[in-house]
Amino acid sequence: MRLEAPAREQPRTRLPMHLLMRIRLGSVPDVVLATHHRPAFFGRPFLAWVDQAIRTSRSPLTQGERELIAAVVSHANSCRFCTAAHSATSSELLGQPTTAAALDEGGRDSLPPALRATIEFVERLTLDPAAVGVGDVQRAIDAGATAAGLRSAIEVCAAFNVINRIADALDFEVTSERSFAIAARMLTRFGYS
Amino acid sequence: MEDQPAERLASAVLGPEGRTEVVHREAAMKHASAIAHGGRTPVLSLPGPEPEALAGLLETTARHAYRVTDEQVAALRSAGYAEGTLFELIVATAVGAGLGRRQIGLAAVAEWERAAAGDRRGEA
Repeated sequence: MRLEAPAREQPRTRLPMHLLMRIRLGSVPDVVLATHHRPAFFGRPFLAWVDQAIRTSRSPLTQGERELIAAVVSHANSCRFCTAAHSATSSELLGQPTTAAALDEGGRDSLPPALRATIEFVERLTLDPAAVGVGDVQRAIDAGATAAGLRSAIEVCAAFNVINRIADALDFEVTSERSFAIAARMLTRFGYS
Repeated sequence: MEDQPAERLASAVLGPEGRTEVVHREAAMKHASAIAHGGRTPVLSLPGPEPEALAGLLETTARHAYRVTDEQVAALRSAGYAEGTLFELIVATAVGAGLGRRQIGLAAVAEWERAAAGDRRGEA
């Protein structure tokens, strides 16, 4: 990470979890260091938002579909760390072929139309937000998305536009595929906060 | 009103847990949100010995954070910026970029719902 403070200044209550991560993953992931560092300022409310957006809020989208949206947004932002992490969580829940199809603009014909339209909506919101309007919503609705589903997708999109930028500005280390897979099992079962 | 987790995040980043002056955190957040909305963005007035370089880091973070370099951050640390300042302003910028997009997306859905409700009333 480009800053040393997040690793240096950690709550003592998190140290047992960090030790477990060192044992299971080989290191404490930079995203954990950044979100456990001064938690009242950023990490605690951010993780509460992500956990609600992806896991606990009532949504027409499944948890796997919301993880997929996180991966798509991260890929659109060219965030290697978050794309790797959420490709792993999406693959854990939806399978690798569906995840790969969503991340490949040319490979999305195999996705359900409503999901594909939702993905395209959040991509546009990520890359060209000033251009997003009611026409984009109508296109997604015409493909089978719902207003509630889009609102749910927007929460995930927004949260990942936050963490993608922090991950890249601080240069979170992209570790091994194995460690992302282990972390994905933990996240999909136990959540983010 | 803080009834949404996203709004609680914004309040935390602008709140008393921050160590930099709130005016600078707020400026960074609003700047990134303004970029998302398009159009003119306010001039980013920042503290310290190299305010233009710091503004450059935050602009890059808001627009395309994958382009931030080791050298950019190292130069600001060498110039005397505390890591806490850099962390807080990067976070504030990122939160502004995310919340700006949230606002745009939710507004578009709300506008669609109003139009759809109007269409249904017209048909009734």
